[in-house]
Amino acid sequence: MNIEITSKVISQIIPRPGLYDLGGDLDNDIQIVLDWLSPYYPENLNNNKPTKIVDPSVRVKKAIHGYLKHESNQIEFVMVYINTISSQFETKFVADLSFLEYIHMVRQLSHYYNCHLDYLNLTNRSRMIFTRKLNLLINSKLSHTKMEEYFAERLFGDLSSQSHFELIDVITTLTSINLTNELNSTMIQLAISTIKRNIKEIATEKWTVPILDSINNCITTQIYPTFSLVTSYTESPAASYLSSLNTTAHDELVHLRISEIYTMVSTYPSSIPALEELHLCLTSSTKRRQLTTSFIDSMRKHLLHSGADTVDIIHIYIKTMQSFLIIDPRGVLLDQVIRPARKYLRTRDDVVIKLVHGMLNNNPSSKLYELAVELTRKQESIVRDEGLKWTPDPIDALADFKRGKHDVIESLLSIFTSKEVFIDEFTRLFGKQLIEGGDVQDIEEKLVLLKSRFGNDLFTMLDIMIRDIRQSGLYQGDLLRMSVLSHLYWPSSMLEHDSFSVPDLIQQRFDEFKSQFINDKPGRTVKHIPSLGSVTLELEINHETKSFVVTPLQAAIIDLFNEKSDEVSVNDAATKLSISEYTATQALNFWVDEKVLMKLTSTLYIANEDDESF
Amino acid sequence: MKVKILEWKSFATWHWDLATSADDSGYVEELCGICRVSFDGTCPNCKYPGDDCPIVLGSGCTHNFHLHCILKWLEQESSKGLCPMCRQIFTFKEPEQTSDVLINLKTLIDGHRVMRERFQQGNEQEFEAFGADQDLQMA
Amino acid sequence: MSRHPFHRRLLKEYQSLSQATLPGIKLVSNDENLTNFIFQIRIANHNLYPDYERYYLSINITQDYPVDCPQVKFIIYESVDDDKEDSDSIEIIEKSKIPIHPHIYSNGHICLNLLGEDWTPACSIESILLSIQSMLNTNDKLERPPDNDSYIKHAPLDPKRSRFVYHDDNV
Repeated sequence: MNIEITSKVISQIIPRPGLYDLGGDLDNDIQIVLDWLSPYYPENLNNNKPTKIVDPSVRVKKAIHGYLKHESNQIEFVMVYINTISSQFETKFVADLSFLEYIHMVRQLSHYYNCHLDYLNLTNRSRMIFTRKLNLLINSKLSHTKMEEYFAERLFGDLSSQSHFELIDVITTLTSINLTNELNSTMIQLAISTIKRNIKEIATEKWTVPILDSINNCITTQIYPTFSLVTSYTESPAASYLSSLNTTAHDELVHLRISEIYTMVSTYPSSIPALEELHLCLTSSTKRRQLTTSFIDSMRKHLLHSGADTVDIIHIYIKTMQSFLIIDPRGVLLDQVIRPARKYLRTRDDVVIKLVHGMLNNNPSSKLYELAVELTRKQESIVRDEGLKWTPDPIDALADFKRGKHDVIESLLSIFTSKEVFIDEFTRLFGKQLIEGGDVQDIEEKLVLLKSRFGNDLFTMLDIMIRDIRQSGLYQGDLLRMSVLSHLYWPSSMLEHDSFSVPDLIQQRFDEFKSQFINDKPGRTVKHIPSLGSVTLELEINHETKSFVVTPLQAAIIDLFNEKSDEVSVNDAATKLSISEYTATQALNFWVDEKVLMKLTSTLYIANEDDESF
Repeated sequence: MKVKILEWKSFATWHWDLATSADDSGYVEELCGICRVSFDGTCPNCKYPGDDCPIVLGSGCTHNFHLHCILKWLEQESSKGLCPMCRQIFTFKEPEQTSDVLINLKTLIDGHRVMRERFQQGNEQEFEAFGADQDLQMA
Repeated sequence: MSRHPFHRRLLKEYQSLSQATLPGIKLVSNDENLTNFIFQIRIANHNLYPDYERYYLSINITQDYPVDCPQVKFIIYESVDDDKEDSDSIEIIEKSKIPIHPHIYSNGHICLNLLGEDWTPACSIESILLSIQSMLNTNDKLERPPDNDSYIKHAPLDPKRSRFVYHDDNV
């Protein structure tokens, strides 16, 4: 419907005058009104001077009064009028206006048309139709991008009083042309993206300090004031916005943390502040699920594969426990995220040995130092008052979720159904230390800790082993120091060694010891394990004295060269010591490496001495 | 070159020296017939093997036991002082050093001997009265 | 319940028994502490004991085992026969019988020297099982002990006590 306003059109709209009106000149009157209304698009809009609206003359008023009496006529008139304005808009509205220029333009146009309209004596309905049509026209010229840019620059920063007024001006203008919804949604979008940007800036990879306060602060001081300013003009319920802004911010933080969770966990304990805040913000079950999924994915990618070291896996396992108990103290999330690691660790052959070594290594630089600390921690502090405050299992708990299993060592031990694998490993490790002359006192102290953790009954073997070593003090003679072992109570692999003939002097001492033992312990006898133990000896070679601590076999081999300048063949050595030639060669080569022996041929060895030394 | 050994730290294992023990070439684990645990281990009530849980060697027969195990058996009246393995009257090789537990064992064995002697005398006197039940007891 | 003092011996016995190497003898059930066992005994090629009959023997290890002999008796054991395919809704419960033997009372008590004065710690669960199996194998009389009726009227629950009752009543 593109009907332009002309007197001909109007005269068709206006009913023919009755006889009582004959005095007037209809066509002329219409033309008078149209003349008054024109231009249909105000001239000189851009020189910042409001177009002056000339008050209508009496004739115009009379003409309006005469012809636009009925609402139906008014509506028809308004439609034609707006159509005319519309076509003028197409050609005359200046494109490429800045947002502020647009606002300025809007105000002038509104003023211009509204002034005219005031004289047309329109009914509310006709007036409303016109306003709505006009707003649509004006709105269609609005560049949303420019509006967003304008607000993006001004909305959430410090407002100077001047820009404050300008802003109010803009807001009222937009509201007046029915752009309230656009204004609101632009503002909300801006608020959200500002929050997102802020959180990214404030929070990304910042885990060592609390940041929730500064986020909340930024919302209260920066976002919310503008927000409430705008809403006070748009008549939206402002009060509810603050809490949803906070929720938005917290959700955004959680979203960020979900992407960072694995690295956060691996930097525990420095990430504790971030973990604690995650605990505060993590309220939705969807987010909880996303968090665990993200963590498990990263863990699988970074850790649970053949390239990773078992110690590193255990290391992260411990941090995972500690971190997730902060995020979710009930342990439900922990239960979920730790399962893949538990399952994977079962496939590792060296888990038990690494755990056992970790628990016993008191060196703070140990990656598993946490285990050693945990082991020494008093059991009482671990027991929680679960019984007193019973609550149902959380809804997102897996079916076989067990509460209270939050002790690091307990959790790691429970990867295996039986504790015996650990007991065996402790026994092997301590056994080795005891044989190698480790500190019995230290071992006993550690054993006390282990007993409090695993139970007394499981360490019978170690108790007997320790007693064996303690009692060895009873058999210390000249040169020979014997320890007598209760063979059923030592790991059999430790006592199974190839035998060999010890030097005569030592054999003699052993025989003396044996008869003393049989005398002391009627009914019992002893069997020597020659290869077990260590020998301290001194070599006098090239007028120098060198000290060594070597294996008994190495000692027996070098003893063959005592005060002897001849070479010794591998075959000789093997025969004298009753060992294989291979074993003899290995022991001989040890002394070659020590520069004590020299290899003459592949089977002949001689003391590495200057000729004149003998 | 002179080699001077300063200290030789070495290890041995102890074993009960049983008459039937294998030679040095290999250890044969012998079990106590009562608890079925190796002699070099302990009876069920002991923790530490060796001094704390000695063994006794049968002298009437060739059967050996943890001292505590055979004590427990001979404390039963129903044992009648017999070796659990061969049902001969149990006697043991007395070591040079004695102990309270060994004296205990001796007392028990003596007690059974006395009971046996008394039973044999009594049995002859009460044979007729007792004999009347024989059929039923066999049932 | 805590472990039996001779748990290690019981464990060894259990391990060899559960390997089921004794023909005609099967371990049916046992408790965790290895002090209560139920064995199934079959007698093959025998006139009195048909091949399809299964006899069940309960063996309870007393606290003083092995210096004290276990409490042993035949029991009536209800086994659900799930082999039969035609019984999809009705479970067929088969009740075992107490084997008829001149030394076996109808309440399951067994008169056997090994379970009384001939017991020594050298005996074992296995030797009990073999003795009882052999006792059935060599039997040719389809009868209960002559005092069966009077015995079962006054028999204590624990067959180990029956000897004392027996002597008290008759001496």
